Amino acid sequence: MASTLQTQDSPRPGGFPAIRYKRNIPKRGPSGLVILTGLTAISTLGFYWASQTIQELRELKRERIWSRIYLVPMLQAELDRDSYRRTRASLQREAEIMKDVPDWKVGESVYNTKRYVPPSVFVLPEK
Amino acid sequence: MLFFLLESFIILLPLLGSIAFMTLAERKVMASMQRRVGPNVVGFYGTLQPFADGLKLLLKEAVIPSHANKVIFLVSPFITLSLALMGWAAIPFAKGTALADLSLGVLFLMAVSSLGVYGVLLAGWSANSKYAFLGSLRSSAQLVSYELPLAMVILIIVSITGSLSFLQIVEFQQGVWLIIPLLPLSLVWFIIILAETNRAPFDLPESESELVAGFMVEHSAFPFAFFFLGEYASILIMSVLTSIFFFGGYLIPFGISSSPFLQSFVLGLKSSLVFFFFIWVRATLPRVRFDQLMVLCWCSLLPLGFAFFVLIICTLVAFEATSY
Repeated sequence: MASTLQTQDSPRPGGFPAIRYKRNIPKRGPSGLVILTGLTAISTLGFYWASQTIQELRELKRERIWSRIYLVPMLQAELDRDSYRRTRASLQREAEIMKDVPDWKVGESVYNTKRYVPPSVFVLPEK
Repeated sequence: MLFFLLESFIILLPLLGSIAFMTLAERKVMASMQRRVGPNVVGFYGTLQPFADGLKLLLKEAVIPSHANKVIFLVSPFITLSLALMGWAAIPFAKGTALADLSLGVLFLMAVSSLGVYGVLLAGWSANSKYAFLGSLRSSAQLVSYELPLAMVILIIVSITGSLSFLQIVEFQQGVWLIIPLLPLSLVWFIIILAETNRAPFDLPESESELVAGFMVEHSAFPFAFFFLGEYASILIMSVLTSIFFFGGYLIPFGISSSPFLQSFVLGLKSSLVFFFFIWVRATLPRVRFDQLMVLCWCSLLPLGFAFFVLIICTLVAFEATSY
């Protein structure tokens, strides 16, 4: 039987080249790692500045508190001087008002104790 | 009393004017992004268009559905607008220039903006219409959900600046604008403010072209105008909040000192840029689905907010930089 030369539908010698199935999208912009590093760097720098601000604010707060603490004796002395002056004025006023009432003791304590009670009411000048 | 009323009007009148011109700015900017002309007939280059629109809404008949609960139906737009305007009391426009410089101003503003949900709910319910009711359910679900990551971001800012007063938050940023340390968080914030104001791409409960208007579908004429004003007032307040929290409020960069007028101008400029961002996003991005909206909030933004909160608190404690 004479053999007939049949052509079979087979791959060509060496085979077909690989099919390019990968999506051909050009890479645009920086890579994810670069973006992440950049964000971290900017945030870190920002936090450094923010912490400096926070420390400055704390220092200002400390200064404010200590300035008040140092002012306390002066303010207390001012208060004492003022309350003494007002008490004297109040006694004078009382004496003037009650001068016609017999047996009236000017400046007698209204409290049932011998101890000193700081005045709780001040008469302020009328506007 | 009279002086207080005068002060309120000094803030409210220019505010309502700027809301009117915001609508015009939005239409003009979107038109040029879509290669159209935009409104250009009324007034010089269409500058009087918002007033023409307002006048039209004022003169139209307000249709009240016969089956609606009339009192709530008419009161709810008023609630929405007045709550949106109330937040402006605590905003500092320049150094020491606020209607009320509250030491807990941030809390006040968050409380007022949370109450804004009631306007939406009452409007949808009182109209006694299925569409309005469904719209209001979706809108309020969105608002309530996005309130959480919003509060988280604000909590982080408060923990860094150590104050709930707007003025002190702004003054803190003389050192550094908070957008620099909180750059990743600011992206989260920009997404949240879009969702919180029901803006594109998160405007699905009231998508203007397909669904008519969501919860305010039955409102027409002047009640509708109130909703419209309230919505834009909340957009404006979110823009101002963004510039206060991240862009140093009224401060001019590089520590340049200036007059109160210039400071408030700078605040307005920054807020306008943020509002431009709102329009830009609306002209660019397509709308998301409702499930995507919810998943984004509960599965991405909220965990991210918590993670940032823990990270930033730990950083501050570790470097002994807490401001209290």
